[in-house]
Amino acid sequence: MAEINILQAGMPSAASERASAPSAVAVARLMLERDLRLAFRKASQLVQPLAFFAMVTTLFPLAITPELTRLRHIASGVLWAAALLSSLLALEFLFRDDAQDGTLEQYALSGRALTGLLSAKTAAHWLLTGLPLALMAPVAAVALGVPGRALPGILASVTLGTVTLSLLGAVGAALTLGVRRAGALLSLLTLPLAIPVLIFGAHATQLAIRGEPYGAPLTLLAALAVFGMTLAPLAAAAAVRINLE
Amino acid sequence: MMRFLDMGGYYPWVWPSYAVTLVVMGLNVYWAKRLLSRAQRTALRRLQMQEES
Amino acid sequence: MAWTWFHRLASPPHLYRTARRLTPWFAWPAALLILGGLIGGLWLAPPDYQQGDAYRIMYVHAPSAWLSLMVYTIMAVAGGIGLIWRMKVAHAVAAAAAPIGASFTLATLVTGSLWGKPMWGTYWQWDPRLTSELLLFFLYLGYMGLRAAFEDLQRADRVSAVLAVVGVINVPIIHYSVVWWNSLHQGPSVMYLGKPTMPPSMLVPLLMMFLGFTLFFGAVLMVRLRGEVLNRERSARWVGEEIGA
Repeated sequence: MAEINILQAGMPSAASERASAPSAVAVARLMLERDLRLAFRKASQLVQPLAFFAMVTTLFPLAITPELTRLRHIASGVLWAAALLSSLLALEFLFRDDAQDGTLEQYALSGRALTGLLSAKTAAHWLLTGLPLALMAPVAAVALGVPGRALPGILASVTLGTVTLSLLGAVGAALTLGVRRAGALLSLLTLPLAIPVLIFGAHATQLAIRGEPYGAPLTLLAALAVFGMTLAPLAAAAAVRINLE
Repeated sequence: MMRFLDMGGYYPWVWPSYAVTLVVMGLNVYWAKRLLSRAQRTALRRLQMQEES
Repeated sequence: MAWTWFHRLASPPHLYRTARRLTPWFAWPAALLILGGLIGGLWLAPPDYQQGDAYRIMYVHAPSAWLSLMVYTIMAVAGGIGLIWRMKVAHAVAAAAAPIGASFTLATLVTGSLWGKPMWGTYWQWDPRLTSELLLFFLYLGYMGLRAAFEDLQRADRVSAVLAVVGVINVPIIHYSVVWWNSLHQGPSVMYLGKPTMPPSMLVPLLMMFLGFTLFFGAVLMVRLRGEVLNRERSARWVGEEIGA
């Protein structure tokens, strides 16, 4: 399998001049493209979180009640709990391959900030799991008896919420990079930090289902996403650097 | 005295609360001492091994 | 010049000796204050006109809650100092503090639910303060779990410090989101704290307990700190002078 090598594409050899080194933005873009291409090559990676999300939402009608009128009341909780859990699924491997094949280490050794690279990987993670989840959530919502007018609100809130979830997940994955079987620990680290997303997201969804204005919680979700975008890559970069030492 | 122990009828909740807190405090003291003595023992053993070699 | 004491504390042997010398200065006042607080709170203070004698749980609940938050903050600040100035002893402080904070968080939860039974009629109410405390407990568990996942003490120190800093930034966000969540669902909140006009006979024992618990934490921290410093300095010569027979 011909790997697209970020190091050859993005970094000059030691002999070549520093001036010819591509900018951090260019490297980040290459990383993003590479991650997306690799993911599309392995379609199962894309499909599994979605299938998991669908499966979890199916559990609730079977466990509680098939009545749509009653399911509608718990739909926001079901959707968000399922979204939180699905976003945790592939996290453990977010940085692991690049750590094992030395990509991260070489990049860190080059003395450049890791934040751009990690942001790109986080963005790829969101495009591959968060965005599909957001597109899937309205479908699941309909199956839970949610009226059609609520779907734009659900789409918007899950889209914004999963951005923060991917960012928090990146921090968790970076922290546990040096831990061998990190799955359970990673969930324990990430879930408490994700509570605000859950609260604001589920509330926005609930308001949308009731047909009330949901602007306030949506704004708070956006604020969390912006806050996360500024700080999470810094924390992730610090953690990756320590784990590579 | 009985009135004190009865706590106005709230004794089933007042006394366990105090008991739990005191147990937590006691455990903290015990764990701290155990941590220190273990650290001292391993440090001592290391020093002895260094002297022997 | 004013910073010489700080630099001297950064030297492990000096810190070890200082901690040993300070321990009784924390322990004895703590014991006296807690004893005084117990007598004052259980015996001398009058019953509350609304809650009867049940409010006396406050004298152990509130100081535990205070410790749970204070210790997490100390842990994060120590971790941050350790990361920025690469100070081994700062990490030792964080490592020593974590289990103490976690145990008092658990005590807060248990005493809170014991207080809840006579006041609310149930052992658990999803009240914002108790819920935040529960999430704080999960944060402590994650921190200690991450620390335990690494064999190498130095790496454990630095990775968990990143988590503590991320966590402490998130604690207010989590707390306010939980308060916001609770205000939507209008749960009853009848806990006693923050009552402005407490008579001195009730207030003085409470203040004694606050101070006593804080000093108690100091005493336990000093003992644990010596152990943590030793674990990080096993082969140094001063260790032999200090504990060698």
